Amino acid sequence: MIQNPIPWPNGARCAVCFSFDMDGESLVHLGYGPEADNRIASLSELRYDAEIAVPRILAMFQRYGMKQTFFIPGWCIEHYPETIDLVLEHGHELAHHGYLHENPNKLSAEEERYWLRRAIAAIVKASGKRPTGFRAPSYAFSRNTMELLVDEGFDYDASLFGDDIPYLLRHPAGTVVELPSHRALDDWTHFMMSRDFNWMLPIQAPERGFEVYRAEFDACWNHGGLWIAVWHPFVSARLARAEAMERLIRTMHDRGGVWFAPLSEIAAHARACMAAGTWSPRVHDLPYPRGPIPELSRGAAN
Amino acid sequence: MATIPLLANPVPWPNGARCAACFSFDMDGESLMHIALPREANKRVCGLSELRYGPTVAVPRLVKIFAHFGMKQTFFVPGWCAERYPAAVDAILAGGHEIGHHGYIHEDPYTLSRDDERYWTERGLVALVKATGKKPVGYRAPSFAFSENTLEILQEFGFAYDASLMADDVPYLIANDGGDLVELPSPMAMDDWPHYMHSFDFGTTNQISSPARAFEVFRSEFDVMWQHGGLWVAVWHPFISGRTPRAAAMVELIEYMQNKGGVWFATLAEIAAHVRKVTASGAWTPRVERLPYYDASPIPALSRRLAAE
Ligand SMILES: [Zn+2]
Ligand SMILES: [Zn+2]
Repeated sequence: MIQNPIPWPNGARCAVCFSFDMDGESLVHLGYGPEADNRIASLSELRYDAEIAVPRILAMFQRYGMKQTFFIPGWCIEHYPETIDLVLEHGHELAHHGYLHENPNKLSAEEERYWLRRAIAAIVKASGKRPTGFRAPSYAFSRNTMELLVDEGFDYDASLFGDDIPYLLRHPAGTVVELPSHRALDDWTHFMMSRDFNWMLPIQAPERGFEVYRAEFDACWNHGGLWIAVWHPFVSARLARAEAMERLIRTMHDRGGVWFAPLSEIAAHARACMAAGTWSPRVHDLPYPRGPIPELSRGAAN
Repeated sequence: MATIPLLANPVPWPNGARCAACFSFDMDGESLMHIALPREANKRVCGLSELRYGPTVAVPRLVKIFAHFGMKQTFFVPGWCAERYPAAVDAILAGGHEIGHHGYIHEDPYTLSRDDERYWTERGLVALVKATGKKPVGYRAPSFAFSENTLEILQEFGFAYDASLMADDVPYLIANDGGDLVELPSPMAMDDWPHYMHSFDFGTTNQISSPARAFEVFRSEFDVMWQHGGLWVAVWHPFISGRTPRAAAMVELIEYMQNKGGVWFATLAEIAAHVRKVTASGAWTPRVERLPYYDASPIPALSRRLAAE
């Protein structure tokens, strides 16, 4: 079903990364500003992220010998140094997810650059090196994001949905490997319910949500795709879901032929295949022309 | 279970088929984003990337699947998308599929004056003629937004059928003083949007079903149509239902339908032509729905209530 399947390492059938966005209380501070300290139940739900959920996930990945990717806003990195140290000690990738989960679709280019750099500085301070990967907070990759990522030397982005396997974003200033996922693989749509965020979906049983993830995995495995979970520790590592997660990990290991890797390695592999000429990605040019497309005005010439 | 016939006037389908089925697709592409958020569409790169998946990744996949099964389907394509994605249009045509009209840029007829609706319909028509070399015979209103003016406009441009309405389980006619048009109905349950679509940009935040759950709905619709002689029309979007896990479930459903047997797989144009044929020969009598439904809204019965407001 995939037109230009990518040769995965060692003949693997598909690539898998359980990537986690550890948003922490950034979501409450961004949404409520001066009122944030008054929303203690929501804050408690989000503090579960760094204090309870991430250590649990790290222990699970260690049991299965998996290295994965954690997207963490700069503010959370500064506020949870012990959690960050633990993530790094376990050999996982630390990647960029904004500074305070600010929404780039609402920022000027200047503001977006400011927050991007501020979070890079936080990552450098915590890990001693620059991040190579980015996921836009709320997937809100903006008209300016591509150029900023090239300027700051990012190698890959993981915010878009345009294919089933890696593809290449191209800009006059350079390229970025896109590692696409999809909202079906985001835990928010299956399990999140919050009055404070005005997000009132019914909460699914773990089996229902994982039925979706498993169907996505089966198809990836059959057709050579890329499976990237976009999960939040405070959502997906609550006890009942953590058990379902472990069952899924076991299913994947038992199936065999799965390349588990952090996104930075998957991006590097895509670049290596391109350089060796063993695979050609689809290419997607950015940015789009600015302003409403001319065809929207009645009477415009064809 | 007692086999009580549920349909009042089942259609005599060709070769004694039990039912007719068409997987119709609306290839909306980025038209949805441009029409919804004209001034900031270009900054919503993630939403755009999801929509571009339709013409670039999903359509070639769908064409390949239907070629494997030897089935011809109907793709409704906004004129703007036909202009922007000639390769997708060519692939659809090379597969022998029908291309139907779906507005110019997914404009919503409910929000348009009669004159504007006519303008965009004509512009969509011109774009499809240019891209395909022939006039489309079928129409599906963007967002199912068939307006009080749509029937007359479709008659003016010589369309043979519409596939936007929901008043029956089998084809029927929609009529006014100027003549009639074949209506090929399908319910919202057959649309993939309520099962899978989740988008911050469009404010659509449905819970996403697994393919197995959604196909439970599509399959139960099929089973009952097969049992009772109805019409099964999927209203799917390549960027949604053409994603790999859902495409795999689609392949399973096609195999299920073929194994069950007695299914007439056809394009909507062929189904509309069959309806005309059996109507003309007297083998079948369709129900007729007169449009407009009411002389005006609000209807007079509401006047007391409205006066009180
Ligand atoms: Zn986030
Ligand atoms: Zn549409």
